[in-house]
Amino acid sequence: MSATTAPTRLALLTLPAPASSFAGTSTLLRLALRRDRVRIPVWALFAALLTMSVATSWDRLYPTAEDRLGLAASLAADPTLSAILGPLFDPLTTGGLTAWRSGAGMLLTLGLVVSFLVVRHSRADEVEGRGDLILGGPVGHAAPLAAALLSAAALLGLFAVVCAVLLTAVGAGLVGSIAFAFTQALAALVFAAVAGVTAQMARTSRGANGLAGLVVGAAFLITSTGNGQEGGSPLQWLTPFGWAQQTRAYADERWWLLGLSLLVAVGIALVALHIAARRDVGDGLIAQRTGRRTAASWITGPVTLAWRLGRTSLVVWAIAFAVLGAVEGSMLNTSVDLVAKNPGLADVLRKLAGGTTSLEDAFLVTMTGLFGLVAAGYGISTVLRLRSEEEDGRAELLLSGSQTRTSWLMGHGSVALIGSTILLAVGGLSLGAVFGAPGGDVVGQAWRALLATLLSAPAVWLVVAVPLALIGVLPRLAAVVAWVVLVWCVLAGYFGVILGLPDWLTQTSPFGHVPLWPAVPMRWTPVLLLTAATVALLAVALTGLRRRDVPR
Amino acid sequence: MSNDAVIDVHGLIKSFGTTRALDGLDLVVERGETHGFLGPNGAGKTTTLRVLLGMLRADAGSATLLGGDPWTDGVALHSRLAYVPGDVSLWPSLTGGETIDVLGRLRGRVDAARRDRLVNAFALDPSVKVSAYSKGNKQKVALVAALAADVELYVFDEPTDGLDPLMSEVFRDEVAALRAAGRTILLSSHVLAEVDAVCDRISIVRAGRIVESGLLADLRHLQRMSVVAVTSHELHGLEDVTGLHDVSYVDRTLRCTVEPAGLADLLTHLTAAGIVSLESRPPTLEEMFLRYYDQAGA
Repeated sequence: MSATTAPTRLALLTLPAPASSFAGTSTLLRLALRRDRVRIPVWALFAALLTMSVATSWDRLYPTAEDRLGLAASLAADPTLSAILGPLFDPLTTGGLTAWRSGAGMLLTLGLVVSFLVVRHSRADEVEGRGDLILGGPVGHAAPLAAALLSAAALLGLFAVVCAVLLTAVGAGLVGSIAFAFTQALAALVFAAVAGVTAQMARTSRGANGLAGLVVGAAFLITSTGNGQEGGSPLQWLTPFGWAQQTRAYADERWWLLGLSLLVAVGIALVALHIAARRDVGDGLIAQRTGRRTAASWITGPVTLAWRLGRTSLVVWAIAFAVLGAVEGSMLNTSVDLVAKNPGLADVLRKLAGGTTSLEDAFLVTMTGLFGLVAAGYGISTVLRLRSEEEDGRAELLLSGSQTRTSWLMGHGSVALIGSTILLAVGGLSLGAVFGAPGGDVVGQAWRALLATLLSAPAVWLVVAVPLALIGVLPRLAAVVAWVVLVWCVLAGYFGVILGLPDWLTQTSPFGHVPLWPAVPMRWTPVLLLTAATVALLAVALTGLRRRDVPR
Repeated sequence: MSNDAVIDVHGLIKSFGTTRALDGLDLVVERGETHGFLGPNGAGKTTTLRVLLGMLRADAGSATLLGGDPWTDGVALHSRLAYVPGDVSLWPSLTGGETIDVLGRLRGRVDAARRDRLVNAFALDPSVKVSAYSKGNKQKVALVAALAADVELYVFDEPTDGLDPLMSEVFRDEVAALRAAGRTILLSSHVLAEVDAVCDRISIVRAGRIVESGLLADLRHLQRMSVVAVTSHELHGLEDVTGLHDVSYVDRTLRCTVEPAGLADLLTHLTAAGIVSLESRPPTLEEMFLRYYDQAGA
């Protein structure tokens, strides 16, 4: 796009909108609800039920007031946990503990779910060409986006009502439950509105999703950084995460913060609708770049093509891992200092990490665990490109050439397996380097953190190999099963204890077998077993794919 | 220009970055006419339609659709027209029948009897999910949704793309019925036989401009006829006939094409040589089309 067209593009936004920009919204809303009649209730109920099960765990885990005050005291000394989860306003009630424990994670989940929902019903339809079919009828240009935002609001409304009812039912207190459920929903609505804007900026749904996810992640990190500072910081008040936390559900609620979230959500939504009503269909605020006229000489087949296709995504993820590692590294520094002053918490953490004597190491293994789960998420989404290639007919294009099915599968498969390993390495190195910097031991700590992080690679490979194997034998189930497995790994790893799941159940997660070196002595058996299981699944994938119909 | 023009476009310009998709395009479609909009890939056909449907805002020039501005009054105007986009994409999780109804409801009303008649005519199974349809069946869904609407103007972009000849025929019949009912139709296509069969008037677009526009019959008259004649005597003086092309004369059989201006002169010569048999054929649309492109390209 030439430089001269950029101002024109923005100038268009100052023009008056066409008449009846919202015509057809109600029909499109019904269409969206019809298309997502499973997706919307499942997400809303899943989120509400998870919150409820957290609420039912406190009487078992911390039955007495002393237990709970003890928990609060140890938290006061641990900026890492307070940073990630937010401040604990009322340690004595079920509601107060639940709001603290599940608030940030729930908002992160809901924020991403509604962001992707909005993009799915706005930009994705437009990219696929369904926009022409709709906008060729008497439908306003802003109507698809309005319907997308309303369907996100419907999901959040359903979540809020069910969540408030369930929390009240398990004894968390009516007023606080309403405050908690609705503050979460309204904060997530802000992210839905942001996704409405990113859908106007990017020309692809992948781009719009990526930008929206970036905003959610950045908001989380900003508020976490604010929460992690002693005595609080203005950063806590900068994002919807902060507004949700500072609403202080169950602890003298600040109701006006609900209004703030709603106001900001509506404001951002209006900006998105303003743009949608004025821009060309198919156009985005981010100008389209032109690319190479000929393919690079290294792209010679499905494998190299897959790397070319996955390149941008891998680079973006690597940057995200570097940032995440740096944030964790700096948290680690503060934590080690403060926890050293609190023998009680230090004990708990040592136990969690398998009975180590070194606090640093205990923290290190807790933090590197997160990398594995996120890298597995990257790996799964990369493997699932195979499915979209198959469904959209691109696989036929490749396989009708002189290419084997094996090379097609191993194209995106190798990007997923090697790419996720690269991400682990980047995250580990960044964490270690930032952690070691104050003590002057950058190289040594980077090396330790790198090795500790890479130990989770076999578990990541195994999770990534699940959709690969399914693409070989049961391709239609690949996406659903892969994401369920990942969600299960997150639940088992982070909520297993709090939900009171038995050990044998949490140990079904591959991440439950990752050696916690250097916190505990190295054990090679699980590493070898996980790797062997991965190889077995790859064999299933390749034999299965050779025998089945393509596309299926 | 007539006040009764359903589509009236003048000097339309639209650029995408450095690419100029429309370069001063003019297009007039009168009420009640079936207008063929011809051009090869990338000539600007779809861009023109998308400007007319208010999806793109023209950089310059004027576009009037059903007497209104397609950008500002799009919604009101669209309730008076039906459109089938060139690249039909539907929601994989809906059935064909659901899709037809949803698209109809967006328009505000569904004529169930008319819809059912069309579903039958196109031999479409409406209970099948879109994800299981072939390309042709998806196209049928979009066509049924559009044809089921009772509107003034029908806009089709490559409508028979992916349809088998039988279904293309059904589509032509439906267009003929709409034409008989006095509806206006704009048919963008590069299937020339289809345009030849159903259209009164055509416009040929090349590189974002109209290079020819008029009644198909008139355009044909302006074009060379193909002539095959057998004479009883040797034919002389052909070199004096103006506007004669592609001449071959073997065994007293003449094959050539002739411009309208030279036709009378040619007949005089043939008569003088004694006509045994004479075939003359107006140019096919395909020949006309290729000729315009050769000329314009040269």
